[in-house]
Amino acid sequence: MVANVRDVLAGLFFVAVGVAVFLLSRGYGIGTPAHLGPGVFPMLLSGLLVALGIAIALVAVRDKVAAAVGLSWRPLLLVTAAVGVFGFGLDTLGLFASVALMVLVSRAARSGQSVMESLVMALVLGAAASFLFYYLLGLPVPLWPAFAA
Amino acid sequence: MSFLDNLALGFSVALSLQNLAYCLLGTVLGTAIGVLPGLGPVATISMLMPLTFGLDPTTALILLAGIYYGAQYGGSTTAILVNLPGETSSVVTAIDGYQMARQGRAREALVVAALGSFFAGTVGTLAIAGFAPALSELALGFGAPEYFSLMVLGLIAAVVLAHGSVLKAVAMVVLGLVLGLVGTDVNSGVLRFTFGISDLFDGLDFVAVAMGLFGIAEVISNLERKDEARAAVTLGGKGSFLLSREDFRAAWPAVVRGTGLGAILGILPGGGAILGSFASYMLEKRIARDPSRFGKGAIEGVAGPESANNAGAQTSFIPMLTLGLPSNAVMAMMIGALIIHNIQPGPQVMNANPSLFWGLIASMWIGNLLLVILNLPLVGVWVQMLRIPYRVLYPAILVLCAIGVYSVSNSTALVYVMAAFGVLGYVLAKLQCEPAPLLLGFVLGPLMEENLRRALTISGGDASVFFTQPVSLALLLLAAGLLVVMAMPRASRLRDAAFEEET
Repeated sequence: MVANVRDVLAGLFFVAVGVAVFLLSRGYGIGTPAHLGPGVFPMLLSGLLVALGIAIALVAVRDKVAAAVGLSWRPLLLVTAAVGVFGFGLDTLGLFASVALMVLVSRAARSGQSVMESLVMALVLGAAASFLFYYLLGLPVPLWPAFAA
Repeated sequence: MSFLDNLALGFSVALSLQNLAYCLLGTVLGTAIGVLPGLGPVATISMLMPLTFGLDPTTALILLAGIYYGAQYGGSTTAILVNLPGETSSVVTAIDGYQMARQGRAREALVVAALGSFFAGTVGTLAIAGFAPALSELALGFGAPEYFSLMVLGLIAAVVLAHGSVLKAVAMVVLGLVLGLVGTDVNSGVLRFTFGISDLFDGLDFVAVAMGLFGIAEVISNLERKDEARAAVTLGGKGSFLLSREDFRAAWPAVVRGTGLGAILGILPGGGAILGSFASYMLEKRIARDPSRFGKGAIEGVAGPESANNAGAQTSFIPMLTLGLPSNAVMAMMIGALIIHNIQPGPQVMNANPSLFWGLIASMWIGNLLLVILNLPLVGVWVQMLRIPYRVLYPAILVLCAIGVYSVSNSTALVYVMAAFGVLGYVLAKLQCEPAPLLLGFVLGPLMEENLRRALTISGGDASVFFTQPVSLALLLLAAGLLVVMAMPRASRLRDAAFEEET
């Protein structure tokens, strides 16, 4: 068994990206040596990525230090979702509601947090953001939901 | 123009009411955010970058530089008061600084850090003013092949001197280079890696990438850990901010040595503020009459590294300002800011924008002065801010990041780009791949390709041009030499030893 799973995965990641970059850059054109096409530099880089990825993985296979990778799915998914909700809601729900929703979703990223505190934070941050960015800095976004206006 | 004329020009720019105000704003904001847990200088700068878009470039850079050394300073404050180094360069400060605080000598530690930093900042500023013109004179003679090789050397040196696996760091640089190419190719108009998404035609936005990698990913990583109960923060000691005669006598030689080390190491790519503070701590410990005092509240252990990291923070501007080369992630942010303001970083900046160049340098010194004047009286406020628990802080960080990135071009597409890079940054951090080299590559990607193409066009397609031009050859040999040396077990052990104090 490989002990250093983490570095093997890192190596494979770079190999995978390298291969993808190579496949994509094939279509961009090579040009001539004196006038390099847009595909050449990415292809060079893709080769480097594959080579480095293989090297990282090979070193890791012989490595005796154990290292695993465990993702914390809850913060990963909910923090990303919080940012997504903001982006998705901004144009339709307006600044205040998007910020408040974002705060609520992000607060769920960690277990055992007080719901009351979350609600208060959503309102406070929503109001603060509206005041600062809408009124003070004049950010060109709707403040309230489109259907309310 | 002579040295003094340059400085006079610089001060006339930096002392304008507007620039002075932004310098003050930057240092205060930087310190405040540097004090908050879980926000480093890169995340801070990227979060506040949109604020600078409406400013003229000189003022923008003055603000960003102020945030940088403010954050640096705030990081040291938390290192001393609660043993939480805000960033890597203040890790060693925490060793003896926190011990001093526990012995009721927090004030002395803070004073030494402040005065040492100010001295180092002054020397660092003079070093920039003295060396930058010569270096940029030299670099003005560089053609495309030399530039390409210089970037190769800069990127390699940056990863070799930083800590962690060299192989992974180089891979991250290359990944960054590729990401820098996303968008429309300037020479041919061909769209690369855009997957037909029109928001990517202009390339990945620099602020969105940096905020995702350093802001969002950081939040996700921090949420894995429990909100640790913080030790009660007390300043202790007498009410005055004065050093005793013995403390002063013990500290000043360490300050001078730390400044020298930090200034020299800061110029090296990858060094920045971090290398200097580690080196200075090791030096002080080695030459001390009684090394056992270190780790138990030795004032030299605060004075040396704090001076070194500030000197290094200043001199790391030298390669950025004169060669357009970022030596660390913060300098990559500065280059990003220059590009956003349509200023091509490189040796021509000093001649084309002398008021920007010298104004920035003069404002650094003013900023350091402001830090000393402000921070000692304000330390009570920072202590209050330290009490904010992370569970309250992180939603606010996310809100600021999201609105900030939206305001870059009033487009929600950038919000999604930031979210994607947050995920990428978190996963890469789990694979123990540091995001800083990626950012360096990202900034330099388009410039490297441009110089590669230009060099080949001038040589008529002959790739040997990189090896026949003596300067280019020397730069490439140096880069290769660095890689070979690092591949040798002995050198890499030495390098690891230099960072061992960190854990």
